[in-house]
Amino acid sequence: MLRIVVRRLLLSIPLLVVVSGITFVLESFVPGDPATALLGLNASPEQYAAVRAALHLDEPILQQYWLYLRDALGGDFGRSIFTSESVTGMVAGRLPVTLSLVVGATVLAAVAGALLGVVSATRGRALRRLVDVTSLAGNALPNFWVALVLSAVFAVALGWLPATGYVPFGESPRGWATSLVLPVVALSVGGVALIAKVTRDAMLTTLELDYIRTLRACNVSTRSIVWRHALRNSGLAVATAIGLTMIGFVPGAILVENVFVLPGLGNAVVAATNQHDLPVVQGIGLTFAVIVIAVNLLVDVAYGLLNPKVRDA
Amino acid sequence: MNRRVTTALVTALALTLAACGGDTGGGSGSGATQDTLTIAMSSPPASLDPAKSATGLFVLYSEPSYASLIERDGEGKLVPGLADRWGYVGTGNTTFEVTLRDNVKWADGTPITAKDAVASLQYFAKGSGPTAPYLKGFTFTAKDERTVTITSPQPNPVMPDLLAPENLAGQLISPAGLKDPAKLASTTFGAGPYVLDAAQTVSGDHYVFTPNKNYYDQSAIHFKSVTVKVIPNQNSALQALRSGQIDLMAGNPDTAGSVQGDAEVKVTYSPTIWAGLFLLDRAGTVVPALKDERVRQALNYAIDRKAITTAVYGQYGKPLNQPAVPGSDGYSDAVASMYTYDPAKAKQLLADAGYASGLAIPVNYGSFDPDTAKLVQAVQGQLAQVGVTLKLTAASNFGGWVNDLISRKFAATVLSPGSGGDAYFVAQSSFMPGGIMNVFGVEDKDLSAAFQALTVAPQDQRDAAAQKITDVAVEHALALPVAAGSTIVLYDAGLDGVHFIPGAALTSVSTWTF
Repeated sequence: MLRIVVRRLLLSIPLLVVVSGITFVLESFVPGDPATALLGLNASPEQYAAVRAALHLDEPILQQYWLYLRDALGGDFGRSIFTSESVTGMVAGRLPVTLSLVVGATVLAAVAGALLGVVSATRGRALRRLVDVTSLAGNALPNFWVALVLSAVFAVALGWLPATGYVPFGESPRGWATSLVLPVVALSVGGVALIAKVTRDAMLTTLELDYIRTLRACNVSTRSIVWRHALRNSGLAVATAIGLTMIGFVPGAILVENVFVLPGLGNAVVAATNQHDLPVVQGIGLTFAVIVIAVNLLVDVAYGLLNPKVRDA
Repeated sequence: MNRRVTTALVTALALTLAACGGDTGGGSGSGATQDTLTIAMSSPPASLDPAKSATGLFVLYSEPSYASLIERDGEGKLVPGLADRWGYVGTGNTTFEVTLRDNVKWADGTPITAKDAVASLQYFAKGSGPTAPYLKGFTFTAKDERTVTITSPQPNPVMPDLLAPENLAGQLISPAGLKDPAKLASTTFGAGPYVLDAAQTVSGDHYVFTPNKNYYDQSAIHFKSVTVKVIPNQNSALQALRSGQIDLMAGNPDTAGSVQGDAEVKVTYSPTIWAGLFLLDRAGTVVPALKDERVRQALNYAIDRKAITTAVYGQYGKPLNQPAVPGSDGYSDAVASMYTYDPAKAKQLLADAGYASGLAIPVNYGSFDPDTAKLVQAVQGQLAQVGVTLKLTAASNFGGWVNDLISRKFAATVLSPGSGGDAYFVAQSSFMPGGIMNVFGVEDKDLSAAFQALTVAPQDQRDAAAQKITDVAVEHALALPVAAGSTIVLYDAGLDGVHFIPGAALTSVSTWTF
């Protein structure tokens, strides 16, 4: 188990370097440059030249990337070109918001998806079809549209929940929860379908197995068979689906953060990309990559916990 | 075990939902007098440093903590701010004096001296803000403890306006702030009615201002806190306004249209910019045809301004044929009816100039502004009907548009969202050699003469001189104006004092009350 974790962590380092390289190159294709974004239209040619020199913009792209990489490996991810705030500080401040949103949506989607999957595996056909339709509808609806509709109904018309904004947990746990209800629901809607389907298929396969027949013969209650034995053994497939869904929620969070004005990484990276704030774009891009790697690692650990055979391999 | 887990989860959920009931964001706000003000802006400031700030509604970021030397009242008249006396010395508009009021202090309690003011103005003149070029060549000296003398190498009739809030230069920065200018990006060092509360501020998301106990007019402080939030999504901002979370936001024709009939939200708007094409290449470098005045006049006759304005701006725009905003000093009634929509005349003029078979004009514009995109496409459609083809190149962000502009490959451009201000500024930046928008450096002798006349005009003759500039610009068809666009603001119906000063900006936060 430990070997798996360590090997994964070592492999993730070259992966992060590749991600940062690709981000760097892609950003360089965006028209305009940070000097004009920073100075606007009215600066003199000397001012532009000074800013471009300070930001190393006239050097070859590989040279610029090397300078960035060298500093990053030393722990210095640079500062925002506009606010001079350190990138690590910015990420640290905004990460809890995005994580609250993504983790919350994953938990909700996992619980709802697993429930729907189990129900549709163990009940009649009509219910199964209803579950199919509902979860596919959730998948088809764009999450920013769902966000806007939820906001219009629950925040404006009914006034039950806030339309925008985020309250940090430390400031008020109740406010934190309230400010996250609509965003989490909006984000989770798209992920329920996959989890429900995978859970159902895995459950159906497991329920056909011999040992389940044996358990039934031994008069073990149906509830225990379904929830304790079968679900646990379907766990591998479900864990994979949850992991994939969580990774899919990271880009989805960008749109939801925009609609609900949450001060998370999504909003920051959109603004930074438009302004050519390269250190911030790189920093947040790497953070997203780290989140994806972490999720994959957690899924592998979950495998190990669920299936002792994997643990000892 | 499962049952207990389920029960626990359900109980937790029930408790959370029960708590939801009483804990919504801002409540309704109507009825009770509110003592906090929340404003939404669609993009964050590039910097809180006044020398790097943008104009227009962006002053809402700097105004709370930076008072100006001269302020404007609700009607737009210049009134005392940090200074209580000002005026030109002698004739010719080259020397100007401004005197600080008695006992005025920085937010940190230290007194403001003329030397402080000089240092701040010098710092601003070297900055990269849109109004810094207007201070080029000025010298600032402290005549005595409280008086600053400003001298301009050329006659300049707008010095009092340069020190007013909309032009930013008068927003004095304290010596403590100038000692380490990098800090100005995120902390405030001014003398305004409020100060930035760094602890509650999250850069790029929301900026919180609390009262400044050292402000010279405590009765002008009406709020316990002023928060400026960044809400890029217009719909989200509108939801927040409707649900009471914010009190004021910048609107556009779509959002303004959707609040019609809503008793709790008011709309105010005023023409603040002229939108249209800058005919940059009047020397004929890229498109020889544009050198001919008849060709440019033909373009002016070929478009149906009323139709385009209604399509792009709805009721919030006015057809306009001159590069001057109604309400500004340069707006000229004399030429207001020139260039009525007459495609036949346009074709005739083109034929007279030798372009009966048509011509092509490369134009660049910024697609990041939806109004600009609609405008330029409408103009393209109408000009095509007289044989003029506009070859459009879109830039997806401001930086890209600037790069295209300074490349001098395009004979015309559209400045998003438009151009505003008094005739002095418009003429200097658009039509005088050396102006930012005059990338081909073309000079029109008559316009230069009118401009010189404006620079030396006494204050009571400024309007007439300004209108003369506009008359020349229109008669010589130096541009292709289409519409006067408005800045639109949506706000809580309970907030009093919010309106636009004609031709200029929004009234200041100090004049608003619930």
